[in-house]
Amino acid sequence: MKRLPLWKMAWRNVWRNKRRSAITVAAMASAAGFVVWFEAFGEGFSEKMAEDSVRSGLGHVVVEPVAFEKNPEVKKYLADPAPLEALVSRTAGVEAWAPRVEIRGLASSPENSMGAVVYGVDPRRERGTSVWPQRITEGEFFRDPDEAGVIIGYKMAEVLGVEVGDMVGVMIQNLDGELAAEAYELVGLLRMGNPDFDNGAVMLPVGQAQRLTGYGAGYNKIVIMAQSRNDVDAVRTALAAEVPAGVEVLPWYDVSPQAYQYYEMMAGMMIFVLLLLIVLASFGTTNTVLMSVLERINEFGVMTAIGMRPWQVFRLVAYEAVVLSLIGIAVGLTAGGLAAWVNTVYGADLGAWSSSVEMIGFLDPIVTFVMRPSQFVAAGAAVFIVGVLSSIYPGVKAARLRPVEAMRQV
Amino acid sequence: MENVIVIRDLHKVYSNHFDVHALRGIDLDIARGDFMTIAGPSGSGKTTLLNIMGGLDEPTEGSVIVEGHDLAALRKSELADLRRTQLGFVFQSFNLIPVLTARENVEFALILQGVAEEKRRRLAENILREVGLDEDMMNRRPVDLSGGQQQRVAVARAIVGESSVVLADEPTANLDTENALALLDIMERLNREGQATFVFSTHDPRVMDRAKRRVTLRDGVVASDERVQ
Repeated sequence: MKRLPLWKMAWRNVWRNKRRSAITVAAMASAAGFVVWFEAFGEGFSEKMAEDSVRSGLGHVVVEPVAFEKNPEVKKYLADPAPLEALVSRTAGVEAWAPRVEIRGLASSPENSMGAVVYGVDPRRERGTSVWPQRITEGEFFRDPDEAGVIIGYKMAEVLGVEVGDMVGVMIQNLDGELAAEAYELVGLLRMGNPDFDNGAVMLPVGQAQRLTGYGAGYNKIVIMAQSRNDVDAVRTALAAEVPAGVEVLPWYDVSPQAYQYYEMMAGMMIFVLLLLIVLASFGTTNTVLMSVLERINEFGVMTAIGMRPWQVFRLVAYEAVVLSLIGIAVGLTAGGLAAWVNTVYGADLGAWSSSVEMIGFLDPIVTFVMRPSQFVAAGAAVFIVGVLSSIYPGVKAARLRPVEAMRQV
Repeated sequence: MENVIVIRDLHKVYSNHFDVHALRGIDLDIARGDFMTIAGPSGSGKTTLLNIMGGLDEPTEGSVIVEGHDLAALRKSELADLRRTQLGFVFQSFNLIPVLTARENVEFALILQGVAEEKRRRLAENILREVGLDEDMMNRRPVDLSGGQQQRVAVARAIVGESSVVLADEPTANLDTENALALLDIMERLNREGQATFVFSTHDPRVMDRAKRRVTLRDGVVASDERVQ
């Protein structure tokens, strides 16, 4: 049998009721457009979540004593870090690195005291590794790894009742298991928008921290920034092959599983929201296609009467849904793509939700969208599948019509 | 003369809240070349009989054999094939496919029969000219044609595929006298030229006057069957 002009008929049928078709196309376009826009947002959100975590001090890759993350005892440190520093420096894909002392301790003022994580930082190297130097709201970041000064989170300063210029006591347990304490002039306040830091961070120049702990030239970890997040695994693998026993190399997602879980959770949530959206869109589309079939029962009866097979009737209905879907997808991907593109250039300001944004750990409320071809493919495919699936019930209904009954319908 | 349709002891009961016996044992032989009417008052069963002959409806009892095929033995798709190849339909309310032009409507029947593109275009245009449609009308959609013109397209669609039998249900009911007579002229000529057997369900005297055979139904049975010289 020669091919029936089903596509031609489907195309013309679609335009018989322009308003209804326009509504269906609008529904599908909205779904496709929103999916693309939302995926680009989600991708940007996840990227930002990961990148801000990394730049908040986590680093892409960390070299540290085995099991330091699980149990960060003062005794676990890199006593002779020079060979490791040389190894890190020559490893491909490494953009910057910084040494860190990282121990638990206590910060105190004449008014109050509170638990803290004490970081020993090298101000020269830290500028390329974390955003800490840029997040000083009062005072300034350290200039020298040996200067006698301390930086604390701004909320901790409120609790301790201290201001820049005041003295803050820092107490830790040193390498010998004894308490070591020193008072430093408060030279800056840190504001990260993250309670872990704002309430609980104490920073000392690395030289002071080494003296206090008794580490000498040693410290707890080397924090590495890779040239991009895509290089993380390659850098880790390269370093892991060469570090001595007792030292391990961890990627950011192992150092901070919470950050990675947020990242994964966001991806899962995106899929859930998109599926929900698509299911809702499918109800509307099914309804429209069904209405268009019910209005033309007589016509389907005639077609069947003159010899059209049920399968051909089904295909005609399905083709109409395909035509509507393709138009909706084209419009939606264009509109959604343009909207997402604007947000890739200018970002989206989530400032209105600043408390939530801080809770997540964002360094700022601007999310820059990330567009990928796969988002368009996924959105287009999802809406197309929904469109075709929506035609199954109406199509089967049309194909099963008995001509004599169908032709009685007006 | 060879029979194209043979009907034996045909019954049709519509069961809803109560049973309605539309046909109560019809026996009828329709010969090739017949130009016949099935007449009778409303509710006499003429449309039901026509629908069952065309495989559009199923009998409750009895048999219908069309061109040697027992309709009861055919599956849904085989019935569709039979309608496509052997039967042509003309309906009271024209029933053209609204999104296709007059020519495309006629071609549609040929596509269903697997006729090649060039041939079907030629056949469609020839038959439409025969029923009195010019080039301009051929390219119009049904909504842009008058009732008479639409019914001519329906007749053209019914006979273009060399269907052996054309079943026409009240084909002139919605036409004025001028158009009705013109349409009957066309169908009569097509019958005379040996293109098809015509079976009309009608109570239109304009049609009955032209018939060579008149069957009358009353209360679901054949009340009379006369040949006109």
